[in-house]
Amino acid sequence: MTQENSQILLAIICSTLLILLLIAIVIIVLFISGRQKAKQEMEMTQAKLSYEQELRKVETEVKEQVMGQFAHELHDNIGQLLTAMHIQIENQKIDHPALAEGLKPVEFYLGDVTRQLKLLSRTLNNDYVGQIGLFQALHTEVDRMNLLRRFVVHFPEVEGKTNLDRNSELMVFRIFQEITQNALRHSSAKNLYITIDNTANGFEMSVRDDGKGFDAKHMLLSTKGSGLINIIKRARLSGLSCDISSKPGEGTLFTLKKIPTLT
Amino acid sequence: MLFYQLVTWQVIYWCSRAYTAYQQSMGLEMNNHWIFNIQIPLELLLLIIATCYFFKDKLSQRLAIISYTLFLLTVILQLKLSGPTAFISYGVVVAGIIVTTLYTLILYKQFHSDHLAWIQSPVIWASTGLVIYFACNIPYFSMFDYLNTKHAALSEKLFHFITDVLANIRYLFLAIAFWLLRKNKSALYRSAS
Repeated sequence: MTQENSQILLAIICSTLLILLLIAIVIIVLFISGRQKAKQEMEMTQAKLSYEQELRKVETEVKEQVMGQFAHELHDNIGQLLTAMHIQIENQKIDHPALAEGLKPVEFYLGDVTRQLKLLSRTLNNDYVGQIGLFQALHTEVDRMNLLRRFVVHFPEVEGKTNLDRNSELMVFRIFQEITQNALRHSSAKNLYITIDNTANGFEMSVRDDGKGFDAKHMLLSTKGSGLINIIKRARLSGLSCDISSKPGEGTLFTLKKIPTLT
Repeated sequence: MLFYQLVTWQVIYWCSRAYTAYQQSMGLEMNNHWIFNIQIPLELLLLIIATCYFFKDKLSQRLAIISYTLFLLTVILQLKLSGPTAFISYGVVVAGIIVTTLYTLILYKQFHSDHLAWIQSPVIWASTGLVIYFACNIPYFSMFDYLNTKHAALSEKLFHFITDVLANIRYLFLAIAFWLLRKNKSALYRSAS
């Protein structure tokens, strides 16, 4: 091989190797910048998530406070007025015995209103759930729902305590209220079945209605499903998962489950 | 559509290979470089179509069309200057620059958006193989005409030493990409079932 040939060979091979080296550098740089971008995105997502969690926490606290105030107002103010009305009717019955028969239905309805108001006041009060426990609070709410006579709520007797903390219990209760309100307003159901599976480490509550149902997947993707998405987000905030399954004509099933924590 | 393009390209490629092999077996000293002149534009066209499928946005597609037009102009110019049977070495160099640019952009996009680990991404493996082959061939093919006329033996040696090795690297990387594609697909099916 002549000197010219070997020089050409060297030049071409060296430039080829140089290009190969450049490609390697470019790929390494792209890899590193890609990883950095992914890391930044992850940090941003985490910051956004914690901000959202904080926001929801504040939102829930404010909501609970307003509901508590409302419950006190119902109990102390409107409750007193209803009692005054009741006394007034009793006085009328003593003063005018002839009116006693005519006042009976009014008295009946007044009694009903007082009872429902008392139940409503209790279920709106967050201290109440903490004091008597989730299961008892659910029973009270079920009684209140049954008094409305819109559908029959089937709730087997559950005793004992859950393994959820106080905040989670309150959240489960509020979610349950939202589910039953949704069922009342939209489902046209005749029956509502509640089942609870309470074990040492787990907790699962399912609420099923036999109403008209809806396309759950479509609803969760549309703007109409913001209430349902809120339920899911609030559940997650308390370490619970909420699964919604429904199809038109097949009723709706909500499953609220405690997410197992890693030890 | 892409399937039929691939089939057509394969048929033409294997016909040209068979014809070249026949020439070599007969010991004929014929200029068969023009056969590559059919394969290279088709190969580049397919690679550019693949980038259009990847990018999808209009700007990148326009860039791809402009690049291919530039390549065709280079080929026409060279064939006009050196004759219709001349090997389109300038075209190969331009094709090398185009493929290197477009597939480096693909690598950039893939490294910045891929949720898969880079080692499991078929696009990254395939693009790396193509970039290595086309970019590293540029020095040799830019001197191809000079070497072929002045140092034919050296040119043949370099062809085997550089182009053959690079082609093997390219097809090895493409094989890994296809294997990963199949592996990921079957993993997807498994998780779905």
